[in-house]
Amino acid sequence: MNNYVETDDLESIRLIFFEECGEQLSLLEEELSSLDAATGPGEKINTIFRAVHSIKGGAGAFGMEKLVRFSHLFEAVLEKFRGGECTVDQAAIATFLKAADVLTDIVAFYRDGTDLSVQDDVVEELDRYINVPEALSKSPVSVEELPEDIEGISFTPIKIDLPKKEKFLLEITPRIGLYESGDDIRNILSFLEKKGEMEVEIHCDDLPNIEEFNVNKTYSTWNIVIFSNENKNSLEEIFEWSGDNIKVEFLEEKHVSCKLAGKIPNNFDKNKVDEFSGAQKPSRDSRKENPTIRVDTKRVDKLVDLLSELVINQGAIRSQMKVNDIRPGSALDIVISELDQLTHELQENVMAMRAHPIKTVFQRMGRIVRETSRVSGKDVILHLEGEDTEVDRSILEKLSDPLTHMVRNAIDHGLESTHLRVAAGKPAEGQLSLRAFHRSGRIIIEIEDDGAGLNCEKIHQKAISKGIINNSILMEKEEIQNLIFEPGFSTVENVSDLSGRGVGMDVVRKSISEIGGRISILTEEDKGTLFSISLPLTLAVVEGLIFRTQKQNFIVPVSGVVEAFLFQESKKFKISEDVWGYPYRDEYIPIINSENLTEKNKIETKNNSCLIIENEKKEKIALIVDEIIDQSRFVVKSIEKNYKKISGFSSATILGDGGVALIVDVDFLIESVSGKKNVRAAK
Amino acid sequence: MPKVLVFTTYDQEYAIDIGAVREIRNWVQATPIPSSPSFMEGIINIRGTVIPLVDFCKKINPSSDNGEKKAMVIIENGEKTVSFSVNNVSDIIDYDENSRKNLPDVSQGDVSTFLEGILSIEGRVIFILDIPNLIKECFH
Repeated sequence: MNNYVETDDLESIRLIFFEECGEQLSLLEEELSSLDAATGPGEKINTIFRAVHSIKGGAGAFGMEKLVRFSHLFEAVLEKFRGGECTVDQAAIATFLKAADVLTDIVAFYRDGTDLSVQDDVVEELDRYINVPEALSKSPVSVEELPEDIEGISFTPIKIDLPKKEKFLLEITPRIGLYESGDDIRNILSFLEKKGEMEVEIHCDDLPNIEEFNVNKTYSTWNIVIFSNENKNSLEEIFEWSGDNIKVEFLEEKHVSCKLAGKIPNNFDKNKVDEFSGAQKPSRDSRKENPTIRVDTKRVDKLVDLLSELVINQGAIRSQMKVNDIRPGSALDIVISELDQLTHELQENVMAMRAHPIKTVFQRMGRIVRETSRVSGKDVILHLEGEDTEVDRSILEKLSDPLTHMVRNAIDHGLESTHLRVAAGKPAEGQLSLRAFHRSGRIIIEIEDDGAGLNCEKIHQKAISKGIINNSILMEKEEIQNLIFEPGFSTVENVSDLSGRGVGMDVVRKSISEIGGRISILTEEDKGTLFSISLPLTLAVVEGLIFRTQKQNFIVPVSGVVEAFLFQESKKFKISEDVWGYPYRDEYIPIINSENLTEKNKIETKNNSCLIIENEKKEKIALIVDEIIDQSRFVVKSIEKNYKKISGFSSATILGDGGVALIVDVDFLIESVSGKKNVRAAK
Repeated sequence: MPKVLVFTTYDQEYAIDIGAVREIRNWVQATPIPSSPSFMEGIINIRGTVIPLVDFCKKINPSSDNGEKKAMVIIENGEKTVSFSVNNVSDIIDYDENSRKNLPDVSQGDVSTFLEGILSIEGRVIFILDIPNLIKECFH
């Protein structure tokens, strides 16, 4: 029994470690990509160092030897840069990025058991920084430092490693946690003692009278002077085990001299301390953000579920009010309206808890770009915009794969090879932009390259040869461009190593539409291509119109409805068997009778209303319904979760009376009448 | 001793391992799903979760429309929760492994694929349902 609990605990700690690894890795990636040779390393290199260091620390505790070994190497290299022995240049940044990628791989290897490819080349690159002779690594070497000829005898310096003892001054303040976890400061002191000669002084000025003594507080501080031939890191390692339970400051001599004299200076050199103690607890500083707590996503999801119940319940109250004939404007109605408002606000706030900046996905693209550009031999510069745009976690998770594919595609198929670009008068490096922003209640993600653009003729030919379209059909430019989303389409003759992995743009479109998104293309030959993805803010709630047909209720999302008006039977006209048209503004659009949404045995009902619905491609149809009931917010409930996907309906919702209503899939409806898909691309 | 829930359909008793049963509820009208098999009544709301409801009578005998549906048995199977409408839920019984017999070794068509065995207790003959297979039969 006991054993079981322990392994369970360990497992949960492991999970936390991996989570933290993920955070450190994305921090690493972020800092690295903003690291610039021109501006010099500055504080950034410290942040990077700390990230690697803390991964190493955790890996050591879990005995992940590969991770320890590699991060140690990486750390050692970074130390050289931090200490100013090496300067950061483009080559170094490239090496760091590669090393970060390897680190990510190794973490994934331990977490998910994924394959670990050999990274000898990166290890070699890193080794070079460590083993390079001083003169080379320190570049440029200033002339003044070179030894001059002395009386005609020239000599070159030889580096001899003497065991030199360094003097370290430490101030140790244990926190109560140290004692609570059963540790003792004496253990640490005895470890320190092994590192060299040591002088210890204890400060107990703060110690109160026995009456005021609080057992839950610590009062003493130790000042230690130690002469050791080991470096600072090896001393720091001693404290690593205690984590936050002990505060350790490596002090400069002047501070200590007065400290040891028993005077605590008021104007303590705060920056200095921060820098050093920062290395001890890497995740705390370096970013000035609001304090955060770590919450299990399941709890947040549960909260969202409960909130959905609340929204449904609100619907129930509304319908009860109607039944009991409570007039709008009555006191009860006003109170209920206020409650509605509160629920709405609560909902938005809970949804915001689930939101994450899209940064996490965008940063992964940095790696994809590097890999792809290496394999394809095309130089690419990635521009990121709107990384802080927040996206619901459930959407974010499903965004990574399609984006990865599209980024690979843009580089592999979109961008021309360097010599072609130069010949066309473009910059040699391909420009790839990823943007995210909000527009009219949706999240827009754009992937833009400045490559050759889509070649309509080539696409057309390809589609004909693949049997996707018929030769005889005349198609507009936009229609042709949208053919790339057809299953079984791939423009590149030789399936390349990169994007041609059997996943086409049709899969991209499918996965985007699964999360309620739409994708459109804007392309100009020789100028480039822009893919635009439009996503809903959340998957949990949909603003919709509820209508009744054949005594059954259905919901259609408001985003797909253009207009609703009374249906005039006389205006409809027959086009062919079962196909009817209806005039709308200055065009004629096809009619769908919503009774087709229900089961077979039809009853005679009166069609009263007409909804004009439209998809992202601006195709419209007229949906004839018996009655439009209301407009409201509906909680989206998955049908697939317990059953399977139903064609024609995206999901279901629960109404105020506890019944279930199906939410109409606008795209499916429109495509079912248009017969031919992809009629017009959205502009 | 193993426990099973016993319900009646077409005067035949069926048993479900009690561990798989989440709850028993009064029958409610489901929202029909277009172009689904005839034994699918539709989808229902069980405390905020949308689950499918299968007409067990129709699943056993597609052609007839026998009996009044009184109860729904809600079953958890792995990740999915599903429900079956039945004529009547009679009781929960403990049985001895000895009273559990194998199905006669004859091909009985559709039905035998989701029957696990037969319980014979005090003259009653109860078919034990193989839930994973039954669900596979209904939803795939």
